[in-house]
Amino acid sequence: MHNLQIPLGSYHPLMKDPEHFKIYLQDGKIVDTDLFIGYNHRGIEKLAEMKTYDKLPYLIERICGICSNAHSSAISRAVENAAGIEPNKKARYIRSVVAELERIQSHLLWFGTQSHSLGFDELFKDSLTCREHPLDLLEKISGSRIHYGLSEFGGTKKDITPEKQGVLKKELGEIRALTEAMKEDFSSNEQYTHKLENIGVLSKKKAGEIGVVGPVAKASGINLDMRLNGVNGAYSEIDFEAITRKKGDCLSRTEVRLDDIIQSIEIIEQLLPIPKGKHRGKGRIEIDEPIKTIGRAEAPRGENFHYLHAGKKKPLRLRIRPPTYANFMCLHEMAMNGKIADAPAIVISIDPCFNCTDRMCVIDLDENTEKVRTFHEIVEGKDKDA
Amino acid sequence: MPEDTSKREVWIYHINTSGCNGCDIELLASILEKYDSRPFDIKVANYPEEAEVVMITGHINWNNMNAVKEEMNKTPKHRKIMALGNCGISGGVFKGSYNEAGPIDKLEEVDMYIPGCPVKPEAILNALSELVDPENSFKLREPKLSENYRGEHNHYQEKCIYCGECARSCPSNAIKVDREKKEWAVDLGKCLFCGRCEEVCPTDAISFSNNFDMYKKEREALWSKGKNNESK
Ligand code: SF4
Ligand code: SF4
Ligand code: SF4
Repeated sequence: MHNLQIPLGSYHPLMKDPEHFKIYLQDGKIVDTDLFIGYNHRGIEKLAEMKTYDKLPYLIERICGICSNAHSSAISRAVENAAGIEPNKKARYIRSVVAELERIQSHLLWFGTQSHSLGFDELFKDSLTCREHPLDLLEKISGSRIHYGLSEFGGTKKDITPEKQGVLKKELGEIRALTEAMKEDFSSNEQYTHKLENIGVLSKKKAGEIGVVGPVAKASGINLDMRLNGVNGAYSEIDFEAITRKKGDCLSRTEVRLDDIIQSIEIIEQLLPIPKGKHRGKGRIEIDEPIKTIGRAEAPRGENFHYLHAGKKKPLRLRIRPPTYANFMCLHEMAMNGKIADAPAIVISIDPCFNCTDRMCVIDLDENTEKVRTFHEIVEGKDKDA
Repeated sequence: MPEDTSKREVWIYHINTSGCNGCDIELLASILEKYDSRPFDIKVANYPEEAEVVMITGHINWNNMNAVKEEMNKTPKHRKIMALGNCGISGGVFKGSYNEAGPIDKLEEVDMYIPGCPVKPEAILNALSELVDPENSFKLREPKLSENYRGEHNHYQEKCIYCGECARSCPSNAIKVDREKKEWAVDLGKCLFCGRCEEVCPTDAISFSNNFDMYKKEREALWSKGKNNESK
């Protein structure tokens, strides 16, 4: 009846994101968890203090290769707030379209990763193949599949011409068909849903206490979506509601994200046609008085929060609170009293993005010599002899 | 050895060392069927001992320096190393950070550098084929690039006034301009392909070609004087 300690997917520079969870087992039940992050720390907040405002968005969007627009539009908002300018109407529409395309590709990537980790490689392939569509659309709009470089203060750099809007509309139809098919495959696959149902439950009360954001909050029944607060983009001009579920288990989180994809498609369809007018803003900007502002955006994983203490030409201090940072804290709650075999599903279900989070942590890592297990090995039950 | 009609297998081992994940995802995408018109099969190795080609993304920070060293020591002697993306090559936009211990070529000799931020999946495949099978080096069909795509720079000497505005505006200090000698060069190993230089140039002397195959075997060769008159 001894305590067993299992490091889960412990840090190794492998294909998967660097992460280190320690799980303490007693009688086959998870009794405690520990989390170590920081292996991806690049010092971006400090680097930001060395960049003038015109160079800043290029650095900030490279925080993360999955939600780069969420970061660059949040920092644009923060700087715009500091300088007292408002983005023009067309730019707000373009930002929203790009943000939704980004959400689609991010959720598809997540669904692929979850399917792969739980051993459903067919869906992994389908999902990633479908993901090429939004990526190609993004390249069509911005010139790059991942870091779009669209951010400007008060506007965006590239226009979505009517001709491109036509392509967008057609491609969206395709993405929708593929996603619907995938959803169907998923919900009819009992083996798959069984691995998620009633696993890692996070009650609404707990979710509120911990302060989770994004799809994790929505799956626990909290109606929280920054798009509805009108902090960024053109969402106030269209009609939609946040997708929520009540149960708060891994299955709900999967459903919320899959429905989010469809909703994002609908949102873009509502945003089209993009109003005519000027889309360009300013690249270079100067701020008269040092001022403290914030910028927010709904990233695919939840609310992305940038606090900016703006100096004249450069930030004096920038603090970034990405969504995964808020969501990490609920892992302990979800995993407690569960089985070790469910741990990977739980971790994946919050869609952790370590690149966003690993910016501000002091790490005290005691070397663990136990054999390291990947998610895959645990799901397949190879940890039995541990 | 009997003739093997099936595709040649290439075992790659991927090390992610604190990049932004962009290149890692593009590497993942390059394994997709969409890009499958190649004469070899990519296999992802789970253990460093199996590696034929090691692919490194990210600029290596002090937290994972030791782990990278350990992993590299476990890889076989004859393995090749590929540095992916500008942060894998030079640190890119993260250059100058207090937590920068890399890039990889401080530790090991790199066999192939693939610029890009992120790298194009097609570029990874072309570079891989050049590396493992140089005799019948094979190129993927020209991918359909969008007209906005930013590849290697075009630089029109007849237009350039060597004012240095592009160099001053570049977020990762990739451009060198020498007014006296009238020389202009960009370090593709540092460039983010962000488009800022094209935007600020007062005489439109810079544009972007659609050349994404910028991989080179030597670091120095990544300095480009820009293509000229390459159509968009
Ligand atoms: S090169 Fe660019 S896209 Fe690739 S990992 Fe580095 S920052 Fe990300
Ligand atoms: S900004 Fe244009 S004109 Fe000036 S040095 Fe650069 S390329 Fe030449
Ligand atoms: S595209 Fe131009 S401005 Fe941007 S990083 Fe490259 S050289 Fe610098």
